[in-house]
Amino acid sequence: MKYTLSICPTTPAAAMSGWYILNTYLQKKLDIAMHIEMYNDFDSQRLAFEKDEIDFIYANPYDATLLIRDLGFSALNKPDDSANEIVIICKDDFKAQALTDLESGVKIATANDPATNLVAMILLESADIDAGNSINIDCSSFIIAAKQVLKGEADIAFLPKAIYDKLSKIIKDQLRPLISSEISVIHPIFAASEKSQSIHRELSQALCELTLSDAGNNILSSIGIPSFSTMEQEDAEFMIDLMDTLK
Amino acid sequence: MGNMSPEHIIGDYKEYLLQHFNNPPRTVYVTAIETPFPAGKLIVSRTDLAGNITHMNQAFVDMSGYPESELVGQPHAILRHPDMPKAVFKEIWETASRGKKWQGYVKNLRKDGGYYWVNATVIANIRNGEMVGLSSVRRQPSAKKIALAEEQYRQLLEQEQA
Repeated sequence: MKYTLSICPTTPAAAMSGWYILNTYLQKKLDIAMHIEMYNDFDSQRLAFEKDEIDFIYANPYDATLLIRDLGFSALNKPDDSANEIVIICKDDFKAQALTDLESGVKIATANDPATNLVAMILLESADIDAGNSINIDCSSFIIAAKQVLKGEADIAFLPKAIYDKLSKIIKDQLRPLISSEISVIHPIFAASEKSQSIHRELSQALCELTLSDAGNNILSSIGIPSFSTMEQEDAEFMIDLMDTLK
Repeated sequence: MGNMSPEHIIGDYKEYLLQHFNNPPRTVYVTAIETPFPAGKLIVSRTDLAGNITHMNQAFVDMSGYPESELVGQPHAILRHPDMPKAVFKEIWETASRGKKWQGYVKNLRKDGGYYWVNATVIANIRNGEMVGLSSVRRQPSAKKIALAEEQYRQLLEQEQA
């Protein structure tokens, strides 16, 4: 059987080669055939797993409900210290000093990442900003969203903290974080389809054991994840419950 | 869940006797000191079907003012503020028990007698088709909506006490 692995469409380009190396590593380690299938956006990726075209997925937490409760996927692993934290940025000279200074009509640059956008909109609730009194500017990537702020086309943008942290100093000096989330309980999951059940245990163990070798640690470093832990079904159910409270 | 202790209270306080559903009356001490919601964080907790706390995150512990050891296994009503009408908690329980999400504003009582407002969402935890408890996630409230909730709860409380 040939397996298909997919990863989050918003995975930073710098981490992509690491995922291909991990895929090669897992094929050798488990003696299986597996290829990576990339999707340009979450909608086309969702369509693929609804059509049963994906066996393993490093998934955005937003999709956990659909994968686990509706499609019968199992959550095998979670990344350690890799919570989906976000930053709401503005231009350094923007008039608002705090979220509560934002006003109705604020222009928001967003990329199509449902978990990032969900958490950011929740943070904006405290300033009485919602989809009904703000203007959304759809961007094809987080970098484009940040550029919209730099050019003054948008007042604020939503970025994953991991992406904000990697912006160059020149760019960061022109921007200012209005708020950073510290949620910690929402994170991506490595999930597996029912039909791949025969290798769930082996695959999960292989991911956990990446830290035991230099080659494994190099792979982890290149995908920006310090280590993987096994994930109990109840851990996944709890995170799904949390996501459901936020949607 | 015992009575609150005056020695833990910071600032001038008033004493109230709260009658909790399914729990003995509890003496609480209340000050006018507000602790602001920690920006960017979520407060998360879970209870079992009896309303006892089974899980919590650090923000829950920090905002409550209690150490974690004094919260695990205690009724969630340990945070009940006397300004909160009983009808709100009845509605939370009934809504979640129907499998629906409850969302609203809640004023919580800290161990030191102070308070904090939260924008809370409560859902039932369903496992194998059975309700096994409740999860609650609280986010930073809006000042405008706190003002609306204060007025609404004051009226409800007056009706309950009439």
